[in-house]
Amino acid sequence: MPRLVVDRDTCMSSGQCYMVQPRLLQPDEEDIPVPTAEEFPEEDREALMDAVHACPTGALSIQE
Amino acid sequence: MTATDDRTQDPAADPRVEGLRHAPGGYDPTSVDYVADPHEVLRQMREDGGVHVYQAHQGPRVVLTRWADVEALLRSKDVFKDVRKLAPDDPRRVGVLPDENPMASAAPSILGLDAPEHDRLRRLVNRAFTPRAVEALTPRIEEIADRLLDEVAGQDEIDFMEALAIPLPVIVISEMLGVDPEDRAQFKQWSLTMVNSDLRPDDHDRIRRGRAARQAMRAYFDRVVAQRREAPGEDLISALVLAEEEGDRLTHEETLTMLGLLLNAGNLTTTDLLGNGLLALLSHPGQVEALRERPELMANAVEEMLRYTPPVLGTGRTTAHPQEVAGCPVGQHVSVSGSVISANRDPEVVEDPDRFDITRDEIRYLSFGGGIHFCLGANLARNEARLTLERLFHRYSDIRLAVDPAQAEWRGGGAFRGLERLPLRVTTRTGG
Ligand code: HEM
Repeated sequence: MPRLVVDRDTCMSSGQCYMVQPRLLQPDEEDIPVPTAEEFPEEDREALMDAVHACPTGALSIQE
Repeated sequence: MTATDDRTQDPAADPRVEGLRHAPGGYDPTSVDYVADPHEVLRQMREDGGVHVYQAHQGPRVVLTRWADVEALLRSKDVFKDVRKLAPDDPRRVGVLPDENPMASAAPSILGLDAPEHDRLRRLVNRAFTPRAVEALTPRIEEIADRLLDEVAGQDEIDFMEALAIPLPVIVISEMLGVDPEDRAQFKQWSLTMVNSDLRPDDHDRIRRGRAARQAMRAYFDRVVAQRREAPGEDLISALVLAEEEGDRLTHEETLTMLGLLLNAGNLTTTDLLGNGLLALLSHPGQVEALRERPELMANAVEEMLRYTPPVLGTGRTTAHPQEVAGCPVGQHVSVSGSVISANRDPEVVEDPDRFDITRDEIRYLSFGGGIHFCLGANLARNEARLTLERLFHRYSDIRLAVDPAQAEWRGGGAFRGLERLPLRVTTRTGG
């Protein structure tokens, strides 16, 4: 099942990912996104890709 | 050519935008009147469907004024920015490519590239602009602001633009890039000449000087990039050069383009955030009082300034193929512009949007764009604005506008919105 990985050193807290997919990610107290689940079901894959593509810095990736 | 000339053609006669409503006559982004007070006509446009077409310099242009539509445009994968995808004779290529702009080079900047080329280049600069990296610059930015305030010490009237808003961003970025101390005065001069020529696109003399400054700047970067390759330091130019060396990732041309962009994208914009923001604040004496009582509100005040009076009016994309834009059929290769300044005042998203209120919570705006082109310098610009205004309010116990806000001198034209001058009457804090 796909997992969402956040590179905290690259993230600029633009908020783009949790604006497009608030169900999958939520900001922590530093405004860095945290995935709302360890793993996501297969049917969320497209939504996950949507969040990954919204990121201006390439800080999000999907791992299997 | 003036805007009136442009309007003599019928934009909706173009089959690619057939059937779209015309923008009302008051919508003329090239005019000073529009820039000075765009909000009434934008409200009309939002209420009248939010999708209009007008005849711009280089053909018909669709303009979106509702938040949802502007945001969707910024994230859409069916539009592009890279002008090389247009036909070779398309007039929209002119001015963006190197023959017209000496700071541009054979390589387009990330601002004019689409995924995946954009992402590869942007990845190399992101780290210098993360919240943590920018936070580390705080003491230095404060020092620069204090130094600039020292230069106007003793005066009871100052032009905020000239004293702080224009020079501060230029100094900060040149230090980040790693311009050598002995070159900084010259570098600042070039940057200011460039900003001044951007400020007045109608002044040919300024344009000529701006062009010469761009050329000199490029030659300078050319030399410094070569030096840093020999002896890298801790600065941003070295970081770009090292990234280039490691995986053959940035070519020399790409490095020069990136440096030009870092310099150009952040100067006028941050200058205008400072100017527009302070004008809005000082036009609302009750808000100034709130800030004097609770100085920790400054970060939130800067967010409200970004929403209420954004430096960039809007940003454009081009349709890759025929499609529906905000529910309206639009053909291929049509310019579509998202009005950020309008979206920020869409009552569907922002409560009581015409009220300037630095105590709002959850301030939302599209002033830094959205999606993959979301402003690289957003954290830097926010910090520069907050720190500069904090130092200003620390230095002076009383700050007032020396002009009637209704008489403020706005610059005309282009995608930027900012002031020519912002005269202030100030009282220096005693014992501070
Ligand atoms: C208040 C100040 C600023 C405002 C309002 C602003 C606004 C914007 C906007 C709206 C965009 C997106 C353009 C688009 O969608 O086509 C953008 C992109 C960009 N900005 Fe800023 N900006 C500001 C300050 C800065 C600073 C200080 C820097 C850097 C030193 C900077 C560097 C950039 C760069 C490099 C891009 C291109 C990003 C990309 O295409 O991936 N900006 N900015």
